[in-house]
Amino acid sequence: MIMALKDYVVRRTFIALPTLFAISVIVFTIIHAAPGDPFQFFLGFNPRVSMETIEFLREKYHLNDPIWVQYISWLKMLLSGNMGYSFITHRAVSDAIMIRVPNTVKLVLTAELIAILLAIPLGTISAVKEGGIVDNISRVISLLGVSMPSFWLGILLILLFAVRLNLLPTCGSHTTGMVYSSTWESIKDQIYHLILPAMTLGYLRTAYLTRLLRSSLLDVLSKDYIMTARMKGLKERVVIYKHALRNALLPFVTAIGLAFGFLLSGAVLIETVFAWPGMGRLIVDATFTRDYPVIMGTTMMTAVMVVLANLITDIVYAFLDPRITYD
Amino acid sequence: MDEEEKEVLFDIRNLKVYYYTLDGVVKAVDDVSLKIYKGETLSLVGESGCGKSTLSLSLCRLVQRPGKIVGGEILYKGSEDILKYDEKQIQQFRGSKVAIVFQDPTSSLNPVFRIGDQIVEAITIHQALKGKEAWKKSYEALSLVKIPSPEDMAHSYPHQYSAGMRQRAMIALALSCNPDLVIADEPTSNLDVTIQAQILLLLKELKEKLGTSILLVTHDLGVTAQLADRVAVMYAGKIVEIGPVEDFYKKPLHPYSKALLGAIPPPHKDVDMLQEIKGEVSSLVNPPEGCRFHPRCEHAMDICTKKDPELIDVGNGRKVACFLYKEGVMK
Repeated sequence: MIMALKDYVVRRTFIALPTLFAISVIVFTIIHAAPGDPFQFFLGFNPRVSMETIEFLREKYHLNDPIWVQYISWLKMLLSGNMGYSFITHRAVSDAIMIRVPNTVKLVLTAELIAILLAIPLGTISAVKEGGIVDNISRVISLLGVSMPSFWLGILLILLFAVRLNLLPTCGSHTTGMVYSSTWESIKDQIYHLILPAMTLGYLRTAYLTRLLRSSLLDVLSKDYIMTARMKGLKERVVIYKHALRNALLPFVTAIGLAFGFLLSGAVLIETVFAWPGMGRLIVDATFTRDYPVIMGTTMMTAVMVVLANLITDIVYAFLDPRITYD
Repeated sequence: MDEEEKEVLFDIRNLKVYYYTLDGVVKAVDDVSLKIYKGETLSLVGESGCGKSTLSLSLCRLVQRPGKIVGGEILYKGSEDILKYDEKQIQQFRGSKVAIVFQDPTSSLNPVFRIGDQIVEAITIHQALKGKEAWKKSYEALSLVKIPSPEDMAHSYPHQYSAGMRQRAMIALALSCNPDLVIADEPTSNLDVTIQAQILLLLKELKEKLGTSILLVTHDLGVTAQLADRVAVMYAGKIVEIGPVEDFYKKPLHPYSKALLGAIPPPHKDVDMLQEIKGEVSSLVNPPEGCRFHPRCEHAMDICTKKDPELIDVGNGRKVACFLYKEGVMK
């Protein structure tokens, strides 16, 4: 099993390489096809900067080369372990990403954890007591969750909890300029900042996952093997939590894994509303300024994380479902 | 054998099972009385939707919503009414006294647990066995149904079994706690013909070996002929005829039974057209007044449209619910 697993991971990694290559080609082409370049954006509107200066800069940064030449030089650089430097800040792209990634991962994982912890009991009770009070309440909550724009909910929560009640901070990942007396103080401050954005994102995910688990559990509960389990004389609790839930969780796990990509992009809006210093905002800012190296770096990083999430999903799935093998 | 001498295992009295649907109340089992004897194979035959599966599920109280057992008694071994059992009692009863083999072996076993786990689970709740002992018992159950090398196969998952083997494993699961009655609900309908024959043979052998009663729920009169000691014919929620299997095939009594047997092509003869039963199966929501079969019956009389016929004893352990026999038109 362990050997098969190792082989499988290696094989999947090799399969992922062409995918990542294709993504890089597509993204590179698209961002270069978009009108404007970094220097036009920053300097083009300034009458004191002459066209010659801009042209000089474009030449210096090889922006006048054919696109495939630019791509190959970017790829060469990447393969040598260098993601390049931002046109705007001149800082290494890898540094910027390494600072931002942990923040996004922290936000996304907390949100997903909240969602999973709420969706499993809510979805289960909704399915088992179909049409009951919990089912109806969770239906309303879920429908609100999937139809509400995330940034709007975020703003409402800020208004209520931060502005009106003054319980939680409005934005950021920690209090700026604060000197902490202990590590605990620092952690506490970060948790305070995390609550609102994680709740916003987590609520939307709860809405979706609850509905998903409910429908998948309803489907499983109508299966013959549930009747078999009851026929054996098992307690209803065992029938539901052992025989039914184990099967109903299969599509649930897939949804969690596949949603990772969605979450990274969905976090963009949340990160903007809460001024959360994550990857999402880095991507947005870089796109507005046509900061090619940063766009490429963040996109590739997201792609790698999505591929990784899918790989982990497949491995977990194979553990849960004996019908799936690593072959 | 004289009926009085046989031990009654289940005595179903005036059982009513209704489904409360948006279209109305479906009377799937309507005032059915039936005895199941120890060691016999009783075949419950009828068309799809006549209530035979519902009747069999009632014996484990496994009728699912929107269905409900609304009346009657099911006496187990002549004394206890299982409809009066509380939740705990019925759970203890299920599996240890009555077990069911379902129609589709591909979906009746849980795909995420090993076959052995699923059998051991039943053994540990009903018998004072744990761990290795329980597993040993599960190997025995699997070898009883002729699964090759049960020690290995118990550790396999259902998808690693063929359809025929899965049905054997399901039978092993059903028999693992030595129930008095095994309900086989269309146990061979989803299997290839050759596998069907093997499973039927297996059921026959096991019944002789273990003395377990079998309630065979089927629409297949061929399967019934091979396996059953007695036949009960169900039509639109009611039992219309019951009696020993030889008599039934030699001389069916109820017009519906006659029509059913008439719809089987005779072997060794070329038949251009099979005999069909005219009309449609009567609705279970608004069953026709009087005898439910009368709109399709060739012999329908005036009284059949007004009164519901009761099962009457016509001797030799045979009973039929038809006015033709009560009025003496037929014998």
